[in-house]
Amino acid sequence: MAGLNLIEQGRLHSPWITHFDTGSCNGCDIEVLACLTPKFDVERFGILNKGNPKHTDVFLVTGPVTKRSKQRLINLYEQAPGPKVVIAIGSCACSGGVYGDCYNVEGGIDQILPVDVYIPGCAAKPEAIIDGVVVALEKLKNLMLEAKK
Amino acid sequence: MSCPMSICASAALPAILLLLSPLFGGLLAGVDRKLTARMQNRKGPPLTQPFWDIFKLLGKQSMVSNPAQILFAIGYLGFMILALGVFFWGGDLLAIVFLTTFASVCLVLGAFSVRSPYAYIGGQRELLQLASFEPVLIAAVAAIYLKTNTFLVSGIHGGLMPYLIPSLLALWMVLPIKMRKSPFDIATAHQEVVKGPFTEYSGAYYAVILVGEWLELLLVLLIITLFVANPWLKVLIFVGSLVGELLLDNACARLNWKWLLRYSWAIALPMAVIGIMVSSDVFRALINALSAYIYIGG
Repeated sequence: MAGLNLIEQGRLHSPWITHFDTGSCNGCDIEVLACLTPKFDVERFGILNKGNPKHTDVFLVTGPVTKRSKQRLINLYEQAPGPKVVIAIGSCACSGGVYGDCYNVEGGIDQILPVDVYIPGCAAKPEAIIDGVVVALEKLKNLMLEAKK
Repeated sequence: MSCPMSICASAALPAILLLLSPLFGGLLAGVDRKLTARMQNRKGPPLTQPFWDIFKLLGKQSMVSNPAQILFAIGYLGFMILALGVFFWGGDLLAIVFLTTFASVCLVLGAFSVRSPYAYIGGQRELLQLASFEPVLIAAVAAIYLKTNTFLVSGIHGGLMPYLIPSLLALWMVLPIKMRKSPFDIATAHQEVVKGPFTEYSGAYYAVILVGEWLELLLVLLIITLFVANPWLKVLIFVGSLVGELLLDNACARLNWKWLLRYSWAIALPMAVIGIMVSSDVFRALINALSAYIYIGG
């Protein structure tokens, strides 16, 4: 972690998550919660499930964005203090999935918010979700290092 | 950790202890998270995890709902530091109790100053926790006064046992209320009122609140160490209280506020009152007179 100060290292060591379901079938949500169980235990990386946008660093969004949940998603995103990362979990969140053409669906998360990492899968496996968070942190680290140059 | 009273008279040691207290409080929080994880058969975060959280929060954008919120966050930490300072300098126990009350009131006012319903409910519940904890703490301090004839921490020489056992029991009973842990984590109930009074704090101000919480935990455990004299016993009672508390936290579900009041006012408070009675001279004189009467009568 050369070249990063304590605050920037803290960002990599303590990503607090908030998980939001924009209209998912709950498959991905169960897999997100599985990450917090003793078997996968993401708290060993300092990851805590906060459920509060004001304490959020990493936004885990599952499901296709429905017309009804669109404004709530934007509200939650805007309430989260920066720097923050958005991760789209599951095929629906990545592209709208099988619901992409439904009359009440806007599409994937990236139609509404800037998405940093896409985790495909129906449903996405807990291992893939943890990997996605690791990739997001790697991206954040590279961004912070680049800003120093 | 435990404050050797004879050295406390010098000015340098209390200052050093006060400066080191956030470090120690953070480690306590780390031990808390690690032990909780081990009790749940998880690996858990490293011991230094609370410090990473603080560093990260300091670097976050601070979204403030109103300026009063900032004042109350700093007030909470400030009163906690003052209370801990009074303790390390061997000051007045009653003043320590009132300073911690001021700190909690800051938390409540901070919660009431925003419009979030979660913060509001959390603030009301924090008031209930205060109403449950404070009478017991004041009764315990009164019992200590009756036993030692002083409110000064530096004036407490030797162990206060065995007359103060009921007071110690009462303090242990209300410890989960003060630490906001299950079964009495009703103020900051996660999944229920988000994070209660802390909901609307973000970034650096949430870091301030977290450090205040560490100091609060440290102070309560330090007050409990006053009940024993031997330094090893002090360490034992300090660690024992923390571990016992965590065991309770992991074994219990959350109760509602009615149970909080029933438990604290019907069980813990009477126990604290018994503590006052047992340690007062009047009570002992009564017992002596009674036994003398029985002796003469027999």
